[in-house]
Amino acid sequence: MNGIQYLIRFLEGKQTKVVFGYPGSAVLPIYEELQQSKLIHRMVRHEQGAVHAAEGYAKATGRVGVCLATSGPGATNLITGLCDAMLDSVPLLAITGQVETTSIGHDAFQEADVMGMTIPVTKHNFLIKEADSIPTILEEAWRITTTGRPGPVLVDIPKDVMTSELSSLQATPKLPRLRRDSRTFESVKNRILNVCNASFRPILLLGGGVVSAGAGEALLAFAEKHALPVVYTMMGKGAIPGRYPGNFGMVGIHGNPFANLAMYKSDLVIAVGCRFSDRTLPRPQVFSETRAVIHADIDPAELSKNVRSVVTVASDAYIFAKNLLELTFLPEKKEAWQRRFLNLCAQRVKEEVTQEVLTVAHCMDTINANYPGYRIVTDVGQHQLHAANRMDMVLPRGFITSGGLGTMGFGLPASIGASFAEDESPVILFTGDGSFQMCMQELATLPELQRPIKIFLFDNRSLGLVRQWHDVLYSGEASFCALPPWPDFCKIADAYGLDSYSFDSVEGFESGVKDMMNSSRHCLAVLHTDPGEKAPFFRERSCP
Amino acid sequence: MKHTIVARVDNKPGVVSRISGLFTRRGYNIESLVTSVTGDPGVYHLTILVIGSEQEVELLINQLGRIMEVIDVHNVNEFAHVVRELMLIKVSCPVDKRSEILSLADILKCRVVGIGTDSAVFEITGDESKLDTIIRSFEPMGIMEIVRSGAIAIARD
Repeated sequence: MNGIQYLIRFLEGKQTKVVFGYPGSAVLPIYEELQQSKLIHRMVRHEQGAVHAAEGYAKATGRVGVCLATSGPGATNLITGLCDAMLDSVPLLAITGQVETTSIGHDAFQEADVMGMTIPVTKHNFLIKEADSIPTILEEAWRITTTGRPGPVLVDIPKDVMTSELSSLQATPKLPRLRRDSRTFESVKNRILNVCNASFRPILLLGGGVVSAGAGEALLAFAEKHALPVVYTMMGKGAIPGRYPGNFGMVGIHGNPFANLAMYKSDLVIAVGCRFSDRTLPRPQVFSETRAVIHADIDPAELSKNVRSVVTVASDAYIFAKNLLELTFLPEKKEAWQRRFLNLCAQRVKEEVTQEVLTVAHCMDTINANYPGYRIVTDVGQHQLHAANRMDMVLPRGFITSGGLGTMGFGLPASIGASFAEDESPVILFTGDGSFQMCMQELATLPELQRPIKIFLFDNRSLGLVRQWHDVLYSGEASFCALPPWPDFCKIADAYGLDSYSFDSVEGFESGVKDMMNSSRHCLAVLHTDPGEKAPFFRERSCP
Repeated sequence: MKHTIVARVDNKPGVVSRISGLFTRRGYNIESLVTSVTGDPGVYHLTILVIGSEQEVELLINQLGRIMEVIDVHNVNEFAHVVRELMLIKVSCPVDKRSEILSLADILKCRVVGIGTDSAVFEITGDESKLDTIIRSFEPMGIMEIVRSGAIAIARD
């Protein structure tokens, strides 16, 4: 058995369903072998599409996304996606071809120092120098990407190593090391009890770690037990179902005012699986000076990184939630706080949306009300923030977005990956005229998919969010935020064989969207929305 | 404040690059970084001197702990430990001043490792403050060049 035969057998053994990739000279041996494999291979049209598709699959399923690229430019095209996966803690295995071992360091054709340039954007990476280490390295790579805080792992395999015969199939993996951290739940249990009992206005803040650990149900039970208000970061969206009355929604600069109000008026934040990014919390120092924070995260390096906490727990979100559930706090003091916030919950209504011109908010509300059960994938920009605030979550892992890196172009390939999810949920993609043009070549990948993707492209003829930030920070006309000449996206959809729709009025949208959603084909709707529409933007001083 | 971080890492290609890259990425300045072999050929010993607050260094150690090859990592300022550094110092040493300089070197317990026509090279081992003292003592003679190895450290217990 040679290196590549082993690689394919390894991926099959790990129940890998699909590999997203793009062929090239240095990965020819893999493509030759793939023909005989059970693995589904989906050929993208740009390697960035492959890595985002693998992310989309991983985010939708919690399983490892696998992508494949050739040496040199193929591998460098993965970098944005690897960085995206790193920031959003996505389990992902990237396999890249490399020039032959004898050519490494000689500036050979399509040679790039992939190992060197992906160190900062991967959880770990490997350059395989000899075929016999393939079994061990692949097993280590798999364990690293799935163990602890997930993250992308890249394995760079020179072409000659791929085709060398293995003298042994024995894998002797040593990584990853399990690190003991003294900040266990047991060690701080009494402090947690004391801090919680001393608090009058506690609140639960959920991050992406809750989604990846599947800790939503347990934390919901904890919130219900103590009638706690719950807020979440963008990556924590969908961690608990929207129907919980104390679920206030997303916090942060682009969160909703009620969630932010709940957070800023609290005297105790129990934060689980979140890293207090600057988009969640622009002024972390002030924040922890005025309230107690209990912070639990699987990655000890996140504890006290951005926010000073009174209690830190190095723990998986699920285990932390189970431990929390066993604690019982003094209930008396919280009642006033709960009454106040449950009252606020009842009063909370989604802002009125004007019906005169077509807006993103109105379109999303219509889709949200009429088409539940879809997995929502977004690109990056105003539409993403509208979606994060407006779409109710029904499915687990139902909201797929690029949070940490904010990668425009993420949406289309990620929706392709998400369509492979084992729960067979249908996929909606929300994208914008800016984001869409960053990876729209992946329209060519759609015809091979089994399940149709419904694409809603909000075309406001500008980079809406950039312009909005410009208006906040500067005065006058925003520079390079309008996007002339505006392409006719319907023609692009036609060119790739999709059904296309164009809506510029509320009435047109409401009647046309039914056809589109009932269609069994891939559809792209271009929604000509109001360029003046703003995405949610919250400033602490505007706390209601 | 200066902190001495000691790490044991797997002897794998790229490990020093991972570690030094982390310092750049996270905005820390390395005062010195010394990689040394240990009794175990599979394990390297790293001594890193870094300036920062207690909290910054604690975060740095957490980040270092995330690197897969890092077996363990400690701030040895927290324990009893020994730090040593090797310095080579080249001092201007014309013939007429030679005996004066050599006797100073003798007092300072510097080993003579080379004598040129106009210069002398001394070898000194010690902790940072000792080496700094020696530099100050030689300053009036005219220091031509200094090379320091960077510190290596070991916990005492």
